Amino acid sequence: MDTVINDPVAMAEVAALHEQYEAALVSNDVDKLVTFFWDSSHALRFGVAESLYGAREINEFRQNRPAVDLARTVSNLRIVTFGTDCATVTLEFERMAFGLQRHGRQSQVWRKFADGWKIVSAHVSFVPASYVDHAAALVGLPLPSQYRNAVRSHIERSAAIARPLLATALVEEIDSAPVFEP
Amino acid sequence: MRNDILSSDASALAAAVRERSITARDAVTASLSAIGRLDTELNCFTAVLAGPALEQAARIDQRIAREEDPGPLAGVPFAVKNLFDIEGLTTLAGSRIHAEKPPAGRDATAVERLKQAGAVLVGALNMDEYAYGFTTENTHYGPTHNPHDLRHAAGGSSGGSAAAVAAGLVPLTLGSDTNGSIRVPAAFCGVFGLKPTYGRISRAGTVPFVGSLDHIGPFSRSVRDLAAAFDVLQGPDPRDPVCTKRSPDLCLPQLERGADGLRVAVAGDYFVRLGRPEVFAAVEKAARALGTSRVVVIPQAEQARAAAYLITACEGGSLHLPALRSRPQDFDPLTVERFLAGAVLPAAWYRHAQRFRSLFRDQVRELFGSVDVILAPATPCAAVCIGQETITLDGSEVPARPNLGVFTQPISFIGLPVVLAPVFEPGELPLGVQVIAAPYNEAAAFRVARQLEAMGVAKAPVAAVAQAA
Repeated sequence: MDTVINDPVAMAEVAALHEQYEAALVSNDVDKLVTFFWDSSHALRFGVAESLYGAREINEFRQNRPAVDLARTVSNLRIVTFGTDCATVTLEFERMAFGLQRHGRQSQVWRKFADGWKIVSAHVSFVPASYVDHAAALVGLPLPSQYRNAVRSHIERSAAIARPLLATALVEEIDSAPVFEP
Repeated sequence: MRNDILSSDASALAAAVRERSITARDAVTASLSAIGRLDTELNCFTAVLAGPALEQAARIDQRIAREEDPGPLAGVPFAVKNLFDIEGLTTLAGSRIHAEKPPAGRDATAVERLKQAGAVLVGALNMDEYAYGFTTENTHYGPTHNPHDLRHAAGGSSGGSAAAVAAGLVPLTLGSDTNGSIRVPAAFCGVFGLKPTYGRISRAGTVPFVGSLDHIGPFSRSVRDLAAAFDVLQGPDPRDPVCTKRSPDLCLPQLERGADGLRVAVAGDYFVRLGRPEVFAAVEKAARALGTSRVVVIPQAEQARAAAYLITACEGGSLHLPALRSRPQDFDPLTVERFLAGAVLPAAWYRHAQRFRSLFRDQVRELFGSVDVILAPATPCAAVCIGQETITLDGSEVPARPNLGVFTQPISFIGLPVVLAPVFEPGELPLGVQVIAAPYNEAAAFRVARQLEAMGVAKAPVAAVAQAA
């Protein structure tokens, strides 16, 4: 028997739930958020920095998460349903993290149980940002794109020049002292 | 005297003014007229202060008429790198951003002291933006041309200061040196330059670049002028937090002792690599004249250069962070990328570099137990062409601009005093020899430089300003 892909009723259900989930996420409505996940020890969520196994770990993380930088701009939302009880939701997003505009991706697997659709597995990640981008963001320095490559190569040159210096071990007792006497 | 006012050095000029064979007004007029005649091509000056200079000259002539002491530098026209505050003038520091600032409320300490000694300020001089460069190729204000060959760079960052002296526009100028910014242009333009001990001359009223490494000092065409200026400039100043509290050690009276009794050696190892043969030949010529064949090794000079490089990048980048955030497009394209990179270097690198500075200082201090003066090349090559991107050293092509300071950076890193002695033959592009002494022993460097000058090995003739080929 062929699986029906993107059944209109299933699509509509998942799309509506996705919108509710997104709203709860950016408003950090923790009570609401936990209801989207499958209440099972088999539920899984890989966050940007955390690996959460089971509904209990996922809920704990939600409760303790600082409500900062949650607003995000979603693009490339894709919903695919398989029959009437299984779906994947994938999207890309942009949001601020520690002062840096980051590009991220999110994948969810949804399954419809007797009590409705639940997320059974999810993975969120950031596309890696370079050291230069991170450091510039941390000092509040926007890096115009026309300079980025040159800045990167200046840092590489500095690193090459610094190598013999950084390879020179200094005993702990040496402190900096810009005093010059005969 | 009148016809060759500017071919004599500042000391002879001041003597002529004091004994009334010329007036201060004659001297200043000669300087202003030379600037008017030659500076269109050279581009040394970013401001010429004809009115105030003539007024100050008139006051000096009045003092002389009243038989008051007009000061040791009476009537000597001088000019300063445009990072020195000049009362009533906006201090550019080679930048367009600083051009929006209000005029300075008072003169920099060094400017005040030269004026008090009777010298007459005639203008402000071109430089690399915020002193971050070795060539004075300033995109906002144009490059300064080398008076010995206009196609070539004057060196930097105090390029206007070196070229103005080399061309005979003024006999005395001030510049600043963080990694070589007095010594590199002095070598490229064939004039004498002094980078004093760190903290020995007040930096008050100058736009900083790298507080840990910034020095200021004079340029001249004779050792006695350099010493006379140093003697006027040195001494405590509460306006500069790192300025020494030691009392001045006057060097002019010590010059004629020459190198007698001083232990002189040539820097080996790092300082005989990474340069063109002619720069080592210039050092060798000076060493031969002084009768020394001794070689000493300044240990870990490569690391010292690296540490100076990092401290410069970090302090320079953080100093300019507000403008880098809000208006990077207004920086010189030749500096902005390095400033941006410097603003994001790891703190651990910076601290390692600062701690290495203590170690290196102690090692070199030990070396000075057995030697008084060390000779080293100033630059890896003679003046590069304006716009030249690379130089060939030891058979490999390397970027020109960052490598012009390889021999100067390790020395200023620990604040050692250096007299830059120009050593070259007529018809050749100038080269320079660093005459390096222990901290607060400027006198030893001056005596050796004077000996080289007396022997005809070091000299700074007025350049016959060449026409562009």
